[in-house]
Amino acid sequence: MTIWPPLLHPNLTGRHILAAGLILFLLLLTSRSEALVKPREILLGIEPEHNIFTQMENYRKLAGYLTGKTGIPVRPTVMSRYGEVLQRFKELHLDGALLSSYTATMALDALGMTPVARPVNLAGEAASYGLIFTRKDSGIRQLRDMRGKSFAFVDPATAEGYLFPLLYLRQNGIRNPLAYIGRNFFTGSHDSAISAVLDGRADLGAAKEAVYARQLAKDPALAKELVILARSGPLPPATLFLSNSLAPELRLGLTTALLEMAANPEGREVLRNIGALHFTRADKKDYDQVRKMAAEAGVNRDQGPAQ
Amino acid sequence: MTDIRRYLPIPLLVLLAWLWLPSPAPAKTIIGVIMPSTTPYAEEVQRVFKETLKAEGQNADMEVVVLHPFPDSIALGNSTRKLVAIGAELLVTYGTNATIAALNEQTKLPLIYSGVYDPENAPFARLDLTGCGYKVPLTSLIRYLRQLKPINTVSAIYCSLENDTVRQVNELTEITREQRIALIPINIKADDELDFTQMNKGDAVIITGGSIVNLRLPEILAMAQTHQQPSITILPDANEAGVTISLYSNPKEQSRKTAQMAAQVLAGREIREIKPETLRNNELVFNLRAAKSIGVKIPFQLVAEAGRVIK
Repeated sequence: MTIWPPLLHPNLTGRHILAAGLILFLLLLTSRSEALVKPREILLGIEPEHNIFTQMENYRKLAGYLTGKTGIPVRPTVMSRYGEVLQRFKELHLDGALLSSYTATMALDALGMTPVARPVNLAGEAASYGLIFTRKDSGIRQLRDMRGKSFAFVDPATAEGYLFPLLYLRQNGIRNPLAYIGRNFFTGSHDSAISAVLDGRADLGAAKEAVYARQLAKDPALAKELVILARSGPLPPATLFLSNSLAPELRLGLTTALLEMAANPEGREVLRNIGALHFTRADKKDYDQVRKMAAEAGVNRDQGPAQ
Repeated sequence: MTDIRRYLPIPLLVLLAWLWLPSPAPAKTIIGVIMPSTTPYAEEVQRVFKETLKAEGQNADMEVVVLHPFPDSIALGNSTRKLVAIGAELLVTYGTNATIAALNEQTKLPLIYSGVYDPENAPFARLDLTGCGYKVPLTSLIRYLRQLKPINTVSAIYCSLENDTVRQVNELTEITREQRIALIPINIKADDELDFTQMNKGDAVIITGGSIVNLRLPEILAMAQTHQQPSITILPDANEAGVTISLYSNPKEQSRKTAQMAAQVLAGREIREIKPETLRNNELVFNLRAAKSIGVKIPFQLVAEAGRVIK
């Protein structure tokens, strides 16, 4: 059998080459499966809840902690807006994301992701609440005052910043909430919705209570300017979801690291930065109420609010 | 009898003449408007006022007479008397000073105010008046400045002749005191040599919303540029002039509402039956070009909140 190129050793036969090819294939296969088990990094998506710079800083600390525990670099990346999770998962191959409750229902239904852990806040609750608020001098005190008033929502993919205010209006007999209120717009983040109301760029706003409380802690004078008109029931807080394609041992490693964070001083410091006491296990069932809420609010996730 | 027959044609002729001659044109309804000469965007505001009146069906037999006095009490009072003399049936006054001056003349004409800052706290708030004013939360001005740079001292440009700006600077005094910021009020008048020596001490400049302040805007901004100070104002659309941030109530919207109220009065409604309005829907504009020129970077998350950005 003639071997080409002729520069190779004349004793090499096709069998030798076949064997070498097989070895090479096995090596590649091994390294590929190694890559599946041990990615070069774990990429976690973060939703823009408030000031993205502060948020990134806090989550970088969490990522650093998880890196130390799993031995694989964990990198947070901010998704430019709520609801972008589906697109980002596909484009950036995210391994997981900290998702707010309504986005989470999308991740569950469309991406088959699994909720693993959610933070317990400083009040001891693993819950998030939505608020409807206005300026104290706006003259708006009750539902009937909201007619024709401008409204700053956060994003169509937020429960606290969109579903809740729509549901509130519906539960109070307003069949078509968006027609009842005046001009409305989406601010993109919870603190921007608060600023919009403070500035008088909107008469009413809705946002997460945790973000509202954080703004108030930073600037206590805000308490003199704003008044809360309504508060939602408890909703799941931002929860860590992991991709089902992530290696099981890594999923376990990340989950364990989160659940055991409060047991060591380094973990407690990171928890303090994100305003949590500890993490607790999350369950898919937590999101049934969010789906129900969306249905009652007349919001179709794919088609937007029902008019 | 003969005498009667002789004089009979006279009343008949008079009657015929009365029937034949065209009836005199009905007197036009005059709306008297007092808009101080330094009112920002006066032409635009007037155009919207007239267009809205027309849209409200107040078209024929109506004349809008606009006077542009200097905003001091004497000139404003004189304007009120002139409008009364030409037979105005309704007065519309722009700003608190013009409104007070018209009230001081004690005319019995119905009066509607417009462009008044925080009318619920204006000197005439307890009177049975109506009109459309505006309110911009001045706390937001401080909040935005603090997001640009540390603020320990801030200067506030106002005009002691104008009640609207005096009330704004009083409010700012209260806010800055609570936030432990030193406030330097700088009083300017129309023809004065501007004394900006105090301005160099501030970390930023707040430009209150008054017509005389607006008149001196180019000089104020030139000084802010010299001292590399960011500026913020509640004057509308001042960003084109080089103000770093504007948070303002749309003056055209105020004018539109005022015209709607005027139309109601002309249609026979009593002033006390028309609910006064305070517009609180404000617009936020950032001037990135102006910020860059003084070495200030407006954070990305702030820019995202603006309704308009000048690059």
